[in-house]
Amino acid sequence: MKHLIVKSDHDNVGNALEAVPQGEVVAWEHGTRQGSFPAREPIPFGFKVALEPLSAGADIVGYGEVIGVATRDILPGDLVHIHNMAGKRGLPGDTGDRA
Amino acid sequence: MTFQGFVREDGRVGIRNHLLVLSNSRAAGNLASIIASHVTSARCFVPQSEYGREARDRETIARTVRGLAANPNVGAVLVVGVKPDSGYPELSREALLEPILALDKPVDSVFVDACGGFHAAVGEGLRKARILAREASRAVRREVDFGSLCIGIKCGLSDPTSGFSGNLVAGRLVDDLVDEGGMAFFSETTEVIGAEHLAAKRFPDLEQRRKFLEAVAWTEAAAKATGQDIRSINPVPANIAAGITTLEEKSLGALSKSGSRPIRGVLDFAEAPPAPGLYFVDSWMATVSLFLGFTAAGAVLNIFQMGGGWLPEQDAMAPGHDIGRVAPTIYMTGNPYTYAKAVNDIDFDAGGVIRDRESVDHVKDRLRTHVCAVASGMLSKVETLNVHEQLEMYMRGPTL
Repeated sequence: MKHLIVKSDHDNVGNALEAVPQGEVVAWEHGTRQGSFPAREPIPFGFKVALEPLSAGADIVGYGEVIGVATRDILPGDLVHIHNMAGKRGLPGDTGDRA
Repeated sequence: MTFQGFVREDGRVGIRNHLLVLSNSRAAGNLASIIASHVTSARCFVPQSEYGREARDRETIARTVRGLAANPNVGAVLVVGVKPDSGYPELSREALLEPILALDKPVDSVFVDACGGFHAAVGEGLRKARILAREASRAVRREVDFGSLCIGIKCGLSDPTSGFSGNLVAGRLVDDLVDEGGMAFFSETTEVIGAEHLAAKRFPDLEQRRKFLEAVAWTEAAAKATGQDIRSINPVPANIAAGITTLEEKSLGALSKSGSRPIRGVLDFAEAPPAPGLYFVDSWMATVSLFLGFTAAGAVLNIFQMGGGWLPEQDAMAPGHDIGRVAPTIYMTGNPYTYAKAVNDIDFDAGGVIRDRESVDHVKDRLRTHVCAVASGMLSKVETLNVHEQLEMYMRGPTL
């Protein structure tokens, strides 16, 4: 079993604290939340893993903040990176709200 | 916790005692480097060319040169030039040379036109530099508080560990320093995008908060104005290869290196702060530029907090060695694999946070001990290499 670090209460992704082979169970806990599931693909050290199902267009949350959106449907145990996630800020068409 | 530092006439504390051979313009760069390379303890700085630069950028050049001379790590200064006045008002005798010659430390100057030519200036400069080196060497260290430090901090080669390991450790150190009356700088305006709402809340001064948000907005607008997808500019390819996906994610991780204390104000590149505390510097993130700006603003020590997941597998040389020119750099990493890959260059391993589940505060205490050792005179790993990096100031205007 390998472990993820989840950085904040509302995060829906965690980071692998060591490299995870495909099929190996990953476990995480943060406060009162916890979970475990098999990695659906190999996860390199430090990379993000989905903690819950995320539909295309859903916000990806890390550090308790929105860090991007899902660009396709994502399942728990999926690697989350540029193939299935995109940023929202600094883009030519971006008109996002500003604090 | 204390360290052994050089208490200067103005009360500020240095941790090194260099003779700085400083060129008053790019044109005298050869003269400065020839003199400095033959004198013990000398460091050399040659600014980038002022030609074709607008007034604001010329002022940045002048501020950087003056700031390096004033840095408490500099025990003596030799200014060299073709003439005492380069022609532009920002780099005139009154604006650049005279404030340096008025510093309360041994200073002197050498100019080609006053010496009867270049070769004569080399000889005269060498003679004066040798005298200054001995005068500077009279300074002695004495015990001072940790809170008398001024530190610049930057993260680099960011990877996911930056945000949950190394930057957290660095941030706690910044909190300690600020709580004990010290001064700290952080920067990298592009890498605040996506986290600016969190940083903005930490500005007690509303005018400074507005200035901060304007700086971020300016940078984001500049990114959009390129017409290019910012994802092709920042996060940089090395970040993405190591597991960072978006600019927002990078920014949130990056902000944690600034700790949690109030941010007193926003400074320009190389601008000295008015009082102790934590400051945001509106600047470019490049390693070969940012530490120069911190040092010219008064930092006596720089910390490069590295992710490093992208580094080559073995004996990876940390980029940039002489990057603060008169202020040493401590490299640290919160990625245990990075430390193992670059053990010859990285001073401090904060990877215990991941490898051993060591508490962030515990690692911070070890870092603090290491910082005090380097502040007391121990060479940082990269400081042992006698190289001469080409440094760049943050220029904002067009080159005409």
